[in-house]
Amino acid sequence: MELRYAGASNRHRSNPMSFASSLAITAFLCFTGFQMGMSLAQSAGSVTANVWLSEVSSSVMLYVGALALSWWSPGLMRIASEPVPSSALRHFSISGPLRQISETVAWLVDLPGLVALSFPLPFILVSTSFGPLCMFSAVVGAAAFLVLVMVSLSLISMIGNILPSFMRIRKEARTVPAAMFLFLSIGMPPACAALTHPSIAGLSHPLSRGAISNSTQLESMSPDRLLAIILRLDTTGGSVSESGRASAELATWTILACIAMLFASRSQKEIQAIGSSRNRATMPSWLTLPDSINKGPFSSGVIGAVSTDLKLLLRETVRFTQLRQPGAAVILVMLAFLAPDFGKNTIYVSRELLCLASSAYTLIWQMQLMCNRFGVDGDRFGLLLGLTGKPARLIVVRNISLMLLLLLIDLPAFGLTAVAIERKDIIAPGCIVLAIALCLWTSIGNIFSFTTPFAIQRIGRLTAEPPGYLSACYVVAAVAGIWFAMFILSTPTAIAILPVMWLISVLLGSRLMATNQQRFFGVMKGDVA
Amino acid sequence: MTSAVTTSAVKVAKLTHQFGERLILDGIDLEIQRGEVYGLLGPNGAGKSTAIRAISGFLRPDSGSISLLGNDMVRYPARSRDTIGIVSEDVGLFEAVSANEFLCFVGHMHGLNGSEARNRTNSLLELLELEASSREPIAGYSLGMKRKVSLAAALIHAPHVLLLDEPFNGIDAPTIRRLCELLQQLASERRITVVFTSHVTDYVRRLCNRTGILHNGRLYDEQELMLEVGAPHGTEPGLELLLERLSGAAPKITTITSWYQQRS
Repeated sequence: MELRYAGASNRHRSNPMSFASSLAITAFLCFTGFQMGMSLAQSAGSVTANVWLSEVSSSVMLYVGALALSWWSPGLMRIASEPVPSSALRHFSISGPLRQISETVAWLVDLPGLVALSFPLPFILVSTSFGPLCMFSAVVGAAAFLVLVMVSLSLISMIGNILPSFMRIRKEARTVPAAMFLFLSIGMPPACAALTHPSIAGLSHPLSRGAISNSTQLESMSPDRLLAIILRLDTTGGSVSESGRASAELATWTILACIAMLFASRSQKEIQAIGSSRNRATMPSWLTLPDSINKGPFSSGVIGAVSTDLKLLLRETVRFTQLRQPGAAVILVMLAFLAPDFGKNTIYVSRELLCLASSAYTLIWQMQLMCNRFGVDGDRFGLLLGLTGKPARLIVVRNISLMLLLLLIDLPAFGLTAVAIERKDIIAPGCIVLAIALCLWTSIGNIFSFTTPFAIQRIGRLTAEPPGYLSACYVVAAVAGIWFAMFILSTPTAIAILPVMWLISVLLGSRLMATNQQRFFGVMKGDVA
Repeated sequence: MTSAVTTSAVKVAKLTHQFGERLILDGIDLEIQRGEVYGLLGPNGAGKSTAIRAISGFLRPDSGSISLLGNDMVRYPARSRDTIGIVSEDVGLFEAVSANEFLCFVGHMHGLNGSEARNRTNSLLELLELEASSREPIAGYSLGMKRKVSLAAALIHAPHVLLLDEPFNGIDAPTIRRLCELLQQLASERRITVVFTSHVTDYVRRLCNRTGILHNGRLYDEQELMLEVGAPHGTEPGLELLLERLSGAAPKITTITSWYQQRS
């Protein structure tokens, strides 16, 4: 049986690069898994199948992503990403024929085995009860190790709930405790080991535990030896196995898995109850009670609205990341302006062009969004307008969600870039500049958004966008934002201006919105030129 | 705000609007009392949706005045938004979120707190039989389901006035029956005013206390229009006949059937 440790192929890369690449690959795999789960869910007919298929498929792919992460990032994030059965296996002292079995198991929890084992799961889980699952477990998982695989899959499926629940399905009741159990399960073995064995405190990657100290040793090592070290079957690296503790951990795992299963079972009953609750519709009492119109404070419901608005923005990124004519014009002008300063080395020039264009693109699509945050089309704009009599509430909600969205995108991007170029020293000041610039852009955008009505260009359809005006907006907002951020950095007390400026912009924006909304709506509906 | 003293929920005077050269609304006068269900009828392109848009404050008319619960909707269109519920003809929803999330969002935007918004969402989803798919993205819904979501969004803040533009398009018959009962109950018990447009006269008969028919930009009641178009007085069913005459459908049908006769 050939066993390969993929991390070895990655040894020439620096840790930050390895981290960044493995993170990107994992993100890609998770995203792909989610898409696959959704596709499977859509192809299935019933509600039960829909929910379970999406969860299990996405969780399996999350697990695959975690496996990939453990391959590609030696020494980093191992605790969270190591295949859980391997983690458990390491705590048993096994020799002789059992070692062959353990190697087989280690291979089984690897990708091909995982796929083979998990493939039937969605179809079994769809069948409304856990009976078939138990039968499946009995047939396939007679051996204790395979039961462990099933347990770990069940636990991993719980964390898989997080993604679908955030993206599509709301099931907070079981997601939170299930995720907590999962993290406890993963964190518990190394935490116990760290507490009882100070020599292995922290449980870094097995390769860093003295067995191997450099890549030369790694290259010369046979796959079997490598596997033995990874599984902690070799005592030269300092064994931590104690059968008593291992048994206790196994028992803990099983209990946690049972509790997680219980949560899953309860939620499934809830799903079935939804299906059977049809034809019981009654008149909502709050509709028939007098004075049930809400007269809550301004802030009431803002957090909930921001949460949904943020989801909306995250799920419809294609609507605003597409570069439109004015934005593209700004980038072209910028590149033309800088062109004389480029060198003659084609490769370097290409690289510089790519870097500049991608940075400018990131900046410009954010400016586009800042300068018109409601203008997708008339129907949606009308819907938003019709939602509240307080335009300021609408603006505040969109401001907060937009800030969170851009911070969510920009901060990790900036941080990872700084790590990749090995300039960690710029992370802190860069993040401050970014946050200040976003605050300022948000304030400017509140006014720009309601000054000149235009509809955002929809895909495949050209609509009226005033290019000159918008280009000027983007340039002014970008330059002013960066300049102001630098100014505040040099004069920290000036940061007090920001909230005042934002408040003024909200008030002014809401006044403009109230005044111009009919004209905006007319333009977006196409009634007014 | 004078909503406490006025009895008319909607008051429109000399409302005129034109798109380009085309006169859509020509000096419309209308007064709808609180608790009244008013049906606005008319053939396609008669200006029903334009009238609803103007009353709801999304369209600034060329001239005339609109008062909704005592608020001037021409000058201050946003002020009454929390007291009206709107269903537009073009169902514009946030299709990337589920019905559940969308309705909670609408509730939050109207100022409902988390638990209240969730409770109302659940009861509306139950009422409109949308529970089974309430956690799926709206993009996958049929037109009828989208319209139900739109209706639920219009109801979630328990408005005083409902402005419904073709609300029953694509909705199945049992749900329409339930909605009609709901609207009638709301009108009679809570004195909610309902203004709705429709092509289907059956719904109008079932639901409305009063109807108006838009024709050539002007608003008529049934008897007036019968005289205007020369229909025999007292003919039953009057509304269908009137709409048929207004849309000119009958002669066209005769023409098309005559083509087949010629061919055979």
